Amino acid sequence: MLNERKIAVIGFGSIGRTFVRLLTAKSHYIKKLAELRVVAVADSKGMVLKPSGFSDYELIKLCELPLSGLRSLPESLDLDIDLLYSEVQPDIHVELTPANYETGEPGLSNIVNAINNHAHVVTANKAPLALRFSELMDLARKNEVKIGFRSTVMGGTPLIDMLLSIRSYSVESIHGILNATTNFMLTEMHEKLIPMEEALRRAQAIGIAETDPRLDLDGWDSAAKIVILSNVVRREIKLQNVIREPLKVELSDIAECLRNNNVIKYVAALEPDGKAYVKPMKLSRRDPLAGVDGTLNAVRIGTTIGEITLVGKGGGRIETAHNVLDDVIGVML
Amino acid sequence: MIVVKVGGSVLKKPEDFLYTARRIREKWVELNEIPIIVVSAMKGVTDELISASLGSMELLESVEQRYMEVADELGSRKLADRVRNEINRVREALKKPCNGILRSYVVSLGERLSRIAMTQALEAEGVRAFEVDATDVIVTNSVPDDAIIEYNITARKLLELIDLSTRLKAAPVIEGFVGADLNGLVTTLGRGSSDYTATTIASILGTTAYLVTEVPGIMTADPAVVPSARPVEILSYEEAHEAACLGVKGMNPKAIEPLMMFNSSSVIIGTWDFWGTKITSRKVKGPKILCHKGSAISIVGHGVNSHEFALKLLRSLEKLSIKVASMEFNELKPLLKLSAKLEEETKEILARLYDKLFSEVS
Repeated sequence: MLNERKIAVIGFGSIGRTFVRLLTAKSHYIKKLAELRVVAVADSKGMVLKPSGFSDYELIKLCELPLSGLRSLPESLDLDIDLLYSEVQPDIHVELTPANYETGEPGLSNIVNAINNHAHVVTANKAPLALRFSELMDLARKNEVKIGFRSTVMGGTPLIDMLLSIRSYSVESIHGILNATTNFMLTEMHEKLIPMEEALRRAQAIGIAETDPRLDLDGWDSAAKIVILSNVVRREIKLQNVIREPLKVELSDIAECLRNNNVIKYVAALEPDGKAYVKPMKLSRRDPLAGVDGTLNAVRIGTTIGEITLVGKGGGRIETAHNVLDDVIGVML
Repeated sequence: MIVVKVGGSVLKKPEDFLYTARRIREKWVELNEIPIIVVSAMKGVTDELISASLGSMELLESVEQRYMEVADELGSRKLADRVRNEINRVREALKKPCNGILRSYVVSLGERLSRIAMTQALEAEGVRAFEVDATDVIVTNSVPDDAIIEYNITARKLLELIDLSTRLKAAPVIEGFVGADLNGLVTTLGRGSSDYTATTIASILGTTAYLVTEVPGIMTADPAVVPSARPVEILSYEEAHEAACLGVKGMNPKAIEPLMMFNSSSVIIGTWDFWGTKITSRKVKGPKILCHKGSAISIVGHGVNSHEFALKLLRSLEKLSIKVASMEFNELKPLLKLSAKLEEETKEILARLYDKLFSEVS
């Protein structure tokens, strides 16, 4: 069939399942553009393959398994990406594994492998791009495939698209609130005067923060995002060169801010001199970033011809899933 | 397509899930009707979770045990694993007393677990079914524990869900009582509001909602007071709303609101074997419900708010030697309220008044 595309979904946690559910919900619309068939789904413990493609109902039922539960299915196999590629030859590789900022693995190897197998890549995993942005882009160009990554930064707002659409601008600086978890926590602390650990507990309980919140609180997530944005605007920086100050805010700091009409925000920035950092900053209430609360994200782009500010949703699971799907649609058209 | 809301009163024991699934299969699925199933928590679970949210952790163990028994009954390791995962997350949240959205997350656990269990029970009965997370479909304002559904956005999401359900030929199972605000933060709709979820879905889709419960319908009076009370056959939206505001058992005022707003659906209330009450846009004259609180007696029904009815009622009351202190009605509501001096036993007087009302006066 013309425009038939086979997809492999690698990583089947909350985002992976939301993406698959969305794919089934939108399959009617997508069919007008191309025939998409999910031929492989893999989680950390196993994988299931179906060369003819899983039906929408089969996909929905996979989403109802316990986390890391693919292995419980009788037809499942041990996770083996090489075997996956030899058995089902996907055209589009959707990488939704968790980020590992030390090695980039398993996402980095998965993406390299996919590109070398001439599959387009759509990733919501930031780590491989934060660590090897230009290498991966070069490899993709060489293999004539695309990498979609619009869900990696401000997933609920078309920031990456906007940046790619202003290529003639020279971007001098970027300042942003790029992490929804820490912004939610800081907003709770300011509004309810609760300690940071209590704000974290709330964020975890309602599914905003991960059980292991260190990637958010130590600034890795925001740092990775500022690296990706910088690379998109051709201001290449390395993740290891981003100065990270972990989020550590006491109630006394919040009280002081209230007295002085300031707010504390966890800001990620790229300065005109190339310095990049992530740190808690006291902002005046008049600062456009100061009023960005809860799970909202914002970014202020300083260019040679003016400033652009974008406020919108960060990457919750639904927004991320939508962006991943839009990237999939983008690469197959 | 129809909506079936399975209330907590019919989910008391582990075997009730399979029984419910079988009844759904027999009544609708075998007739090629795909129901949208709205589930409540098992009986008593929400109360236990509210206490747990205030620090009584042992009650969370009780909730876990009840749903693990359902998993045993279904022979489902998958359900057991998911119950354990959900309970562990809530246990983490309950390390300290909680409020706001966190409390909503905790007290809605029972509905989430019922959604998972009911889907698996339906599959065990050979019914194609799939889970729908209410936070993905029911969009509300941001009041964490008494939220109002935003109909416009919810309608768009519902239409997508129906499209999917039709294509999959599978019944969606969604938890009642739960929604999420525009930021995706979980909210609850207030106690007893799974009906609100069901009537909202039915109203938006212009279809019928079946509310399955342990009583045969909305009763004409409290059977504990009036032995001859029976289910009201037909109630209009307006009558149902007045009855709900008076606190009549089995009715939630919020659940009536979407019916009045969309004016497009019927609600049928009863047990699996007897559907006693239908709430519809049709207005049938006559007294429908008699209820009382102390010396205040209320009569609900179209036409009871007229001088003619009031005069007949006064004559009946006189014959019963009931002295009326005051009477109140207006033309906008199908309701008449009176305050009476009840010299004999209240129960007996009300029973006699009921007999008069539902025979002579009407």
